[in-house]
Amino acid sequence: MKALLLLSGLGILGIVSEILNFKKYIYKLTIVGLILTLGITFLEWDNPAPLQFSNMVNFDNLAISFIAVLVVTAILWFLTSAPIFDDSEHIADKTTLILFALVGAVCMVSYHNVTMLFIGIEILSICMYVMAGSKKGDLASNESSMKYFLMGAFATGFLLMGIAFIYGATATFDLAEIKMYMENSPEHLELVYTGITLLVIGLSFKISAVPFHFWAPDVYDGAPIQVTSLMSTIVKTAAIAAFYKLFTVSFASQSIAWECTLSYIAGITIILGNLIAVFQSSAKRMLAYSGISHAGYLLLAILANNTSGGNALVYYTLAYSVATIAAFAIIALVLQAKGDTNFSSFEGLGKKNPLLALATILSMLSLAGIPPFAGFFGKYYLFTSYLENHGIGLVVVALIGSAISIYYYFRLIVTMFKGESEEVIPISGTVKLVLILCILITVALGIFPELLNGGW
Amino acid sequence: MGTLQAIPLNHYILVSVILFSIGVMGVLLRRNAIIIFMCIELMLNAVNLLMVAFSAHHGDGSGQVFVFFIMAVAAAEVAVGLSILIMMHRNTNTTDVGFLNKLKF
Amino acid sequence: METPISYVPILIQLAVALGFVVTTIIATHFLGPKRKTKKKLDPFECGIESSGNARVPYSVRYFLTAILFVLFDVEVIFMYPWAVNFKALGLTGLLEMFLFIGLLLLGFFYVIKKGALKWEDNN
Repeated sequence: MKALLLLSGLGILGIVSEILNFKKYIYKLTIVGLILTLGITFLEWDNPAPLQFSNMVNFDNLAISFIAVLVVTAILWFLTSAPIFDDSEHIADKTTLILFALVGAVCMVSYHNVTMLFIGIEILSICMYVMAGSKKGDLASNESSMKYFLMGAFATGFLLMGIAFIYGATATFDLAEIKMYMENSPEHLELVYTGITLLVIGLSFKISAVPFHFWAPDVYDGAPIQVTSLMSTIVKTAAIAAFYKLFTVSFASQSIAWECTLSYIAGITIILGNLIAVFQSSAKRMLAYSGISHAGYLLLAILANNTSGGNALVYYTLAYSVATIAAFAIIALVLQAKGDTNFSSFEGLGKKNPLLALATILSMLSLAGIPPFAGFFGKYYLFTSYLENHGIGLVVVALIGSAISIYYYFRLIVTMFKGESEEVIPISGTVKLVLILCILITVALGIFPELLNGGW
Repeated sequence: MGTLQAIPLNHYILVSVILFSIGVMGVLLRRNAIIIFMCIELMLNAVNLLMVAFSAHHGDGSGQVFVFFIMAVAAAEVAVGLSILIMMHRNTNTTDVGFLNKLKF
Repeated sequence: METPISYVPILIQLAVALGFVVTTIIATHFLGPKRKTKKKLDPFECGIESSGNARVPYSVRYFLTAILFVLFDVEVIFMYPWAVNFKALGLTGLLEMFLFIGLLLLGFFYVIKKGALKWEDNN
C-alpha cells in the first residue's frame, strides 16, 4: 500500500514541480523516488493484513512481487529513456504521465475489487494514449495514439459489459465474494458465462492476444521507441497480472466457461505472433510481434489455474521485461545513429561495439528461451505449472512457437556480425549502466533460478 | 427487491444489450472518428443502464457507485480522445479514420 | 408481473414529451403573426449584417476550454453521494473531500501554469 501512496505522491510532485518551477530536477527526483519505492515495497512482505482501504486492494506477496517487477522495470526504463525527457518544456508532463501510468499498473496488480481493476486499467491506458502521441508533429505517432485510443476504449466497453453481467449474477464486486458465489453452484449461469466471455474478450484486447491483436503492431511501431518499450513491458505485465488474478481467484471454479476459449487464444497467439515476426524487416516491428507471441506464453499461467502459475508469471514477466528493455534500448541507440530500425542498419555493429553486441546476444537468447538464461527458466516454469493439471497439447504448440522464434531472434544477432561497419555507436553512461544491469539480471536469474521461484 | 420492479429485469438487460450492440456495430462500421467516439459512449452508457438496473434489482448500492466511476472515467477518456483528434486534425485536416494507413502490416 | 401495463408510466412520459413539442410547434404556427419581408427572412447576428461562411474552423482555444470544462464539471458527480451521506461520513469524509478538491485544484493550477487558458498571444 505504501508503494501505491508513494508512487501517487511522486506523480503529484511532478505536477507541483511544474507549478513551482523546479521541473529540471524532476527526472532525478523520480529515479530516487522509484528506488525508494522498491525498498519500501519489500518492507510489506508477508503483510499480516493484506486487505486495505475497505477491502479495495490486496497487497499479498504475489501483488508485492508484481509491484517489484513493475518498479524495477520502471527504473531501468527511466534510465534508458533520457532522450524523451530532453525537451525541457514537457519534461514534467511526461514524467508525471509515466508515474501515473505506474500507479494504474500497481492498482491492476493489487486490486481486490473489480472497481479498482477498472480504475487501474483506465489510469494506465489514458496515460499511455497520451504518451503514444507525444511526438506531436509526427503522423505515425498521431496514428498510433489514435488507434490505441479507439481500440483501448472499445476494449474497455467489452470489459465493463462483462463486469456488469458478473455483477448482475453475484451482486458484488469483491473478488472473494465472487469466488464464493462461483463455488456454491451459481443459479444465474447464463449471466456468469456471458460475463466471463466478455471479460476474456476485453482483457485479451489489453494484452494483445490473437485475434484481438490487430492494433498492437501499428501502435507499437508508430509510438516513439521509448514508449513502445514501456508498452511492451509495464503495460503487458500489469494486464497479464490483472487477467491472472481475476480468473484464478474469482473464476477458478467455473473454468469450464473459459478454459477452452483461452487455450485456443493462447495457441493461436503463440503460433501466429511468431510466424508473422519472421517476416518483418524492421527490428522494432519484429519485437512488437514477438511481444504478441509472449502474451500467448503468459496465458499458459492463467490456464494452469494454480499458484505455481503465479510464481511462473512473476519470473517470466521479470525476465521478459528486462530483456525487452535492453533490446529496445539498443534499437533506440541504432535509431539515433542510423535513422531507422531496419535490420540492415544493424549490419556489422557487433564488431566495433562489444557491449552492444553482448547485450543484444543475451537479451535475444533470453527472449528466445535458450538455456541457461532467464527466459529459458521463465518458459520452463510456465510449462511445468501448466502441466500440473493439463495435457501436453498446448505445451507442444508453445515449443513449436519457440522454435520458430529462435529464427528471428538469431537473425538480429547474425546481422550484427555480418558485413563491415567501422561505426562506433556512442553509448551514454546511464544506458551503459542499464545494459550491464540487464545482462547481470538475465544471467543471474538464469544461473540461480531458485532466487525468485521461492515460496510464496 | 427494489422499487423499480414493475418492469421485469429481462427487459432492462435486453435494452442494454441492444444499445451495446448498436455501439459495437457503429465502432466497426463508421469511418468518422467523432462518430466512433459517440458509439463508444453508447457502449458505456449501455453498461451504465445495465449496472443501475442490476443495482436496483439487488438493492445494492455498489453498482451505482461503479456507474459514477464509469462516468468520470468516460469524461477523462473523451477529453484525451478529443485532444488526440485535434492533434490529428491539425496534421491532416480530416477526422476520417481512413487516413490511418501509414503503418501497414 | 410481466404485463404491458408496467410500461404505462413510460408511455405517459413519452406522450407528454412528444405532445409538448408538437403542441408548441403547432400553436406558435397559428398564434404568431407572419410578416414575410426580405429583412425578416435574413439570417442575423444581433442586428449586425452577417458576413462570410459560418463553417470556418474555430480557434483551438475553444476546444481546449471546452474539454477542460468537461473534465472539471464531471468530477462534481462524486460530491452528490458525499453530500447525501455527509453526516454519516463525518470528519473523515470532509477531510477526504478536501483532499479530492485539493488534487483537482492542483490540476487547475497546472492548467493555468501551462497557459492552456490564455486567450492572448494566440498561435
